[in-house]
Amino acid sequence: MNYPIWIVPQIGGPWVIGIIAIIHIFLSHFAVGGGAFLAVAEWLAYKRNDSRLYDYVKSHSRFFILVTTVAGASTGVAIWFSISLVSPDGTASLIQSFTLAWALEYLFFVGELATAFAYYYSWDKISKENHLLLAKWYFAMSVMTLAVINGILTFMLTPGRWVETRYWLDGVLNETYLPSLVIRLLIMFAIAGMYALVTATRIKDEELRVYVVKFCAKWLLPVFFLGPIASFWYLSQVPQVTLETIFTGIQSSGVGNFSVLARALYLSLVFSGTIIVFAYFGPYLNPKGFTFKIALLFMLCGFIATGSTEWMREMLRKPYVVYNYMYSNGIRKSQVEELREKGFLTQAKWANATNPVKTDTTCGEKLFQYQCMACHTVDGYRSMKRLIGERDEDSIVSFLKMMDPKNKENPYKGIMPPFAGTENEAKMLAKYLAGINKTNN
Amino acid sequence: MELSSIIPNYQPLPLPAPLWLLTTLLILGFYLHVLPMNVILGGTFLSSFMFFKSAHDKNSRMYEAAKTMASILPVFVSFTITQGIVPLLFLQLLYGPMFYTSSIIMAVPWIGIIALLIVAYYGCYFVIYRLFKQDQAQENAGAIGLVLLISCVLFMLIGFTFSSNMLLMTHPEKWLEYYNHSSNGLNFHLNDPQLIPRYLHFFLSAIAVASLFMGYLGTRKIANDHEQGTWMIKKGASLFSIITSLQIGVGFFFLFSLPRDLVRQFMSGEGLMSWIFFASLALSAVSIILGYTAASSGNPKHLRATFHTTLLVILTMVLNRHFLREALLSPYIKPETLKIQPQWDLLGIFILSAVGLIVYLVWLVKVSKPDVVAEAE
Repeated sequence: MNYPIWIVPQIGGPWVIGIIAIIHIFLSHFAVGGGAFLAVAEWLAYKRNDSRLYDYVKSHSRFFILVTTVAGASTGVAIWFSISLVSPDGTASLIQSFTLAWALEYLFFVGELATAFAYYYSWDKISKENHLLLAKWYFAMSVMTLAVINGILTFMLTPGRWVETRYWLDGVLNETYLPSLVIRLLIMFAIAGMYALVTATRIKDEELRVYVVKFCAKWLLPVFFLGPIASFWYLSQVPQVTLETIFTGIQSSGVGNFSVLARALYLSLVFSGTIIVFAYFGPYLNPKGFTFKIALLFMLCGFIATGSTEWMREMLRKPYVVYNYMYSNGIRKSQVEELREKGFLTQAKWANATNPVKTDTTCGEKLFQYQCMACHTVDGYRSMKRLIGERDEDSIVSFLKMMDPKNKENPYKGIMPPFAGTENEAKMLAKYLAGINKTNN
Repeated sequence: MELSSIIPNYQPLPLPAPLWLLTTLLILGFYLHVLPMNVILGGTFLSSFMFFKSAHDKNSRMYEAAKTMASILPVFVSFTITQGIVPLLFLQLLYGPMFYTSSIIMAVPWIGIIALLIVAYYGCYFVIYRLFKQDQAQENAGAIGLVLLISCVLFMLIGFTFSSNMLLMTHPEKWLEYYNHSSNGLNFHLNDPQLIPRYLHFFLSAIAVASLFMGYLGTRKIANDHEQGTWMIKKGASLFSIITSLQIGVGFFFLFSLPRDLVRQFMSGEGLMSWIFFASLALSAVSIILGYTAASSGNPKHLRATFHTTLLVILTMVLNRHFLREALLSPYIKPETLKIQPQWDLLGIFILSAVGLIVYLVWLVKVSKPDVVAEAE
């Protein structure tokens, strides 16, 4: 609520983060899992004394370096850029609380990249033992970066005792820290296998190709067996209200009105399931028939599964950016009472400064931008035009009233933040929203 | 309108360490970022130029030097990105209210940087993997020069966008006008007397540093190929000295584009800010003289002396830049008023890990050095 709002038409700011984040996750998970893959594959090449396998690992490592150090690292920075543009209050809070944790992650990241280059440029130049050792160190460093960033990511959903103590370790070692770490590692191994299938299907020697393709498929096994258990563990630790939202969604899905969260969960399950079945019948049982094109298709499947899983994780956190501390629109939970009493527009600097005329409608528009646009757009993603439909001012006002934080019966409490403004401001917002389908048609 | 009515508040959370430490980390982080940044920005420019110039003679010293230079670029791009994390982190922490606001105002070019970066970065790799063939005769020097030039222009645009945003964050009086022009982030802060001199100063220094770095690569080459090494030292040092001599003019152009009272503060001879400023001038003069010496002697010792002096010049310049920003922002925000609640335990872990990392990197360099035995295998 502190900053100007970056208005992104149609897709809305959150999807700018979403698109970049999904790409980054698909790349960075490869950066970690791929490290383990390289180490194991190189070890296997030595054990089998197989120079062809050795050559494959070497060529795969170039692909690995090109994908992870360039696109992986750059999109990581891009996430940072995008969150600070779309959610500056949330980003500032995270940075102010976890500066040193991020600084620590940076150290491991330096170690990770330095090792990646040392490893890549020393093929055939140093002893086999040392080269394999570098691969192992690379994996260790990349896991450490994950161990730190996982703390900050899970903190946002389950900040644990941090909300009271403000102690960094309470925030980092929270309820979902461990299950999330395990799930991510499992997914990372699977993603490493999928990426390796792309390079494996390019191997000319058929015997080796069949062997490597089957070997890659095995990297999907851990997530197949342990994924459901880890997911169950994870879900048992997320806030109760959130779970209720998922399950009400699922129960009502039969009548065609299931929640977005349930939809994300379905999508994630469907695609993950497809991948597993696909991996079993494709590269595992029929490695000979598994071609480069199918491998790319397989990657696309993995990309969609990653995307929907991450989307679900983001949805779980609604309506907060940091659970129980700050809402998605940057308003802190503790501020709501005061804003409902004193008014939002008097407190929000930029909403005020960019609204010189101050009619009911322009005030309503500012309230919409500052309180709703963190998740909605006017006529694109989660379009207000569509959601408002034929509703008039009075029905919108009663909807906003229902979202009173004290209202225990509020069905939207796990998904939408309360309206943080006076009754008069609610009316202004309602007036603006009621007119949204009339003025802009 | 009162500017304080549009300058966002800090989050009501304490800083995790004493301010002096956080500021030191910001400056140190930026220093470690700017060193490889100079090498890639100046290096793409320099190597592209050398490829074009030596395209007709692939056995020339220049062609060889251009190849050496182009080969190290991708690793330095990676260093630049990694080292950029630290200043970006501490900049957000200490000057977030100003930085976030200016970034949102010019959101589209700001986030567009990443796309430019990815293309420029892949350009550097493309040169190595696609255009450098085993057989030198097959190499297309024109294509190599062109790809490097494209990467260079993209890096230049990234730098220009950075300059623009780093200036916009110090000009809250311009924010509303821009935001009213476009709330979609389609703004670019161009109308600023400091922008061109500042950018020119930074860009020229990148070329100078990259030239000197070519000389430094020459000192390492001299053992295997004495003539090539000496050529790189001489050319690198002489280019460095010529450009740095020109920089004196550009530097003063930049200085006098600043508000009057700041110029006076820099020139006063009183206080740390002014002392560092004069130290940077003196050190620059020394580096120019040393550079000319290395250029005429081709002696690796002279080159190394120039190189180490230049590392100090850059450090003092980074400090100048920091003092300038502090002075420009001081009327608007005061990080020193923030509450401090040191996270000593995490700080301890950070310091221990930093020491551990240094030990690890030393070990890494040792282990990954080409092994005679393995090569024989």
